[in-house]
Amino acid sequence: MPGTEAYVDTSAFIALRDRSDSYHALFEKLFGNPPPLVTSALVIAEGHTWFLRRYNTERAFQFLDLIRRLGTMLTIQPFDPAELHSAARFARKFGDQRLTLADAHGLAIMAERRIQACWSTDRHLSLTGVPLVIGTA
Amino acid sequence: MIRTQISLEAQEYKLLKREAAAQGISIAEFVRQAIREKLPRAGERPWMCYAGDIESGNPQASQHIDDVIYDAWD
Repeated sequence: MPGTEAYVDTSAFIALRDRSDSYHALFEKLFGNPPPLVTSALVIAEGHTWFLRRYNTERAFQFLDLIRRLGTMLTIQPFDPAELHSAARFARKFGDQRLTLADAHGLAIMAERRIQACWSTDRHLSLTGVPLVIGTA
Repeated sequence: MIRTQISLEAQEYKLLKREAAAQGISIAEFVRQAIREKLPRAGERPWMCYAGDIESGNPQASQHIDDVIYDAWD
């Protein structure tokens, strides 16, 4: 569904859960009535690792449960060799930005699916010109 | 109502019994209330039970995630 989907980055999930985060209210509102969402398998790995390292296994499992509960609302783009090739292209293109592979894959997914909305607090995700929702809200 | 059986750790059962008694309700009613709190309400987005479930005290928590995942880098 090009044009109507939103890409979701790790930071959006964190802001949704953390009521102290300055963008919590925004993401609570967005996740309360979301369009079709898309994310990278690497974002799921990042999110799990973040909650595991910042908190504990319980919070990491809760993150996975959050993803499960999103069900068909969230498309998780697998990270196969073709996706690695696409992500590496963006990582090289923006080599001076020291992109993580998860960020690079996010840029590749948004370009491929012509996504025009990015749920993230990470400015790296706007490198290709897709506006971050934190800047448009 | 459906009758079912659950197994609890001895310590959990002790705390459950104490808390139910403190609230003046049966253990069964305490468990039913806890389950109702945990399950998504009808019509509610099931993932929203995690919205705001953490309070870190850090307003920039979502903006420095690489520091946690990949350790601090410049």
